Amino acid sequence: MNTKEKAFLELIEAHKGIIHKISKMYMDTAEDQQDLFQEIIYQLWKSYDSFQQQSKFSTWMYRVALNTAVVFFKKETRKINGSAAIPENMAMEESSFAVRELQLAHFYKAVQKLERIEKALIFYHLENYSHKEIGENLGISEVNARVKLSRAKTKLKELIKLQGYEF
Amino acid sequence: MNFDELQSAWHSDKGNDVVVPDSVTKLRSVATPVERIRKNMRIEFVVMLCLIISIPLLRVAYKDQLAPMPFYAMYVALIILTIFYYVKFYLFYKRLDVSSLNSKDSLYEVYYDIKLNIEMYRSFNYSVIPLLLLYQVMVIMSLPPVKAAAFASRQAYFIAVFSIVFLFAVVLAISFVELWIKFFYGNYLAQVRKVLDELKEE
Repeated sequence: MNTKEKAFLELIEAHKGIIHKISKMYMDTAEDQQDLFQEIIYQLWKSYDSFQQQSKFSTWMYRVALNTAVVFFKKETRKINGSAAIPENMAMEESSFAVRELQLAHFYKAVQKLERIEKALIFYHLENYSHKEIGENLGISEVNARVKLSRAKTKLKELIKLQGYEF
Repeated sequence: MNFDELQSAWHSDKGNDVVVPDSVTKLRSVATPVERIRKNMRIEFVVMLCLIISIPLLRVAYKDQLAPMPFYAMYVALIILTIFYYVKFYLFYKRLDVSSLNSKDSLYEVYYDIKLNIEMYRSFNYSVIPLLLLYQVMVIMSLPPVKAAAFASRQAYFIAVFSIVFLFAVVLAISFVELWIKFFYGNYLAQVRKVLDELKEE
């Protein structure tokens, strides 16, 4: 393994959590999530030379990862098992960890039903990006980002409520 | 739950149990529109190569019946057309490999490149179809019963039937090409278009 690849994999190791979260937002089965996770790493590696040190690695990575996820296809041959169910015993527990897990389970289940760009908007919002930054990353105007994000948030809220969880 | 709580839960999810591959050199793209198009182009290239190689075998099979001059003239035309278009397809294939789909601009670039090449692919097929149909006509006309019918007293009837069959074959071939384009390339183009539409200003 050469130095460049080693340095790249170290960066990926440090940011693997975020790539995994993007995969979970865009794909509903573990196998598809794993495929998308690997596809994102492949696309990041492919465009690694274009990464200029002028921007933060995470900023550049978000952009490549989301754009990969947006155009990623599920494997056609794979059986569709439906979206991930929310574990029943999780709903019974009251520890803060269990509550967070339950919230995330509801979130990931609902977010599957959003459009691809809406998912990207929600992702940037959860990562504390401003409307201006979201617009810059997606190549749309700040106003458009605000309008689309607001709509995506409302839609997400409704979907979570439909799942029977208070939002 | 509200968005602040969701954000807090989101940040607490570190994904520590996720395993990163040991090496990136073995990773291959499998499921992007670009990679699917590239894969289909590779398959098509092999099919076209087989077709080009198999055509002279017709001459071997129907040695005495097929006139050599038109046969080889059409073959040369077919090869020239194929080389001309496949050089362009190859350049497109290489361009797709370096395209990254990393921004809205690159998505647009890839979208119009795919669109342009679909048109080029269509025109290639429409140029090749008449040649391939003419080869079929040559073979059919070389069959003794057809040959006899062509020179028999009911020649007008024969020409009428033959023209209708030829027309039907042309329509069938064009329909096949259109379905092929839609299935192997058009669907992926539509996928990129859908993403671009979602990004449109409101």
